[in-house]
Amino acid sequence: MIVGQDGKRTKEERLSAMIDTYQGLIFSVCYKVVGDYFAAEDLTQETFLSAFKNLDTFEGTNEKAWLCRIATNKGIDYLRGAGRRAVPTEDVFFEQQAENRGSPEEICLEEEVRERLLSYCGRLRPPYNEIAKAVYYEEKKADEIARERGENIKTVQTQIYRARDMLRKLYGKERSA
Amino acid sequence: MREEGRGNGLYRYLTDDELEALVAEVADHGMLAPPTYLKDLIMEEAAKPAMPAGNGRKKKIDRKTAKIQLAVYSLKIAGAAAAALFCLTMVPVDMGGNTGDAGNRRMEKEIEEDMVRYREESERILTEPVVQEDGIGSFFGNVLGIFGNGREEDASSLWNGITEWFGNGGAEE
Repeated sequence: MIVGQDGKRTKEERLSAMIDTYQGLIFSVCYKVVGDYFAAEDLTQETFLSAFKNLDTFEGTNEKAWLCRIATNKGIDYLRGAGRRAVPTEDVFFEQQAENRGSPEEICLEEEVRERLLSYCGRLRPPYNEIAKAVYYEEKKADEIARERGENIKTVQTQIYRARDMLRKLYGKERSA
Repeated sequence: MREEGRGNGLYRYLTDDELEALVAEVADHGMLAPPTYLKDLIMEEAAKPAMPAGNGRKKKIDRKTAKIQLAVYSLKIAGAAAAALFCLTMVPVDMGGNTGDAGNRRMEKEIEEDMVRYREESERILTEPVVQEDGIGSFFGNVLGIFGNGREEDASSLWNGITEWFGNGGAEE
């Protein structure tokens, strides 16, 4: 474990450790609340940044519960936001939560989301379709993709961000339609 | 931690029990893998220097300054409105759309005036009797006119020519 000069971990190190441990859970919780892959991505980011900001004031011991609370509250705030009334209403939302519990649909959620992402990736123009597939479906990191394609990592990072923007637009269009 | 299920329109925050159930459910039934770049993105954002408090906010202005600013602004607006009204009412504008030809019109008017003046002058000269009392030509013309058969004009023009040929006979001296 990396420690600071005073023997304590710095804030950044604590954040890094928190992300390593909880990013999957927080992302899944966000997705569960809002049902939108890219909104869940933003909310996960906001959750960790908010935790990072308030890390000094956090006196509790249950980091997991704290992060999940931030994530769900941010998700609810997102749903309350204007223009997002297409998602289930309060009662419908909680009913769905109860109904989906343990259902086969729930179990296949990850697969379903990945398949949907793959279909979106296929609709992008080259080379973004391949980059998006590598990132979202094959879960490869930028340096890995750069090595495989024999390209500069900065180029790949830029392509990833562009592909992400294109996917967001596609996703948004599909949802609003 | 928030305990309540505080209502706000259609959505409310989860109670602790609901949150616990949600987390258990997500953990049990397959979590979604976040995008691989997410951590880098968050760390990058976290590394950005935090904005100091008050930065980006509007400077607080006291009541008196605000009133003065409002008065100055009102004066500016009133001045602009007055100038606009003055332009609209006092400055002559050709509503026929020929606002750009003002100079040409003035020139045309001047030419017209000159023409009138020239015509009047010509008429005046033509109607006035020719009296030429100076020069040798005039003298002989007059003499011939006296003895001629009323053809003073012919005689006068003849002798005027002679006068010019001789150089006006010292009449200018």
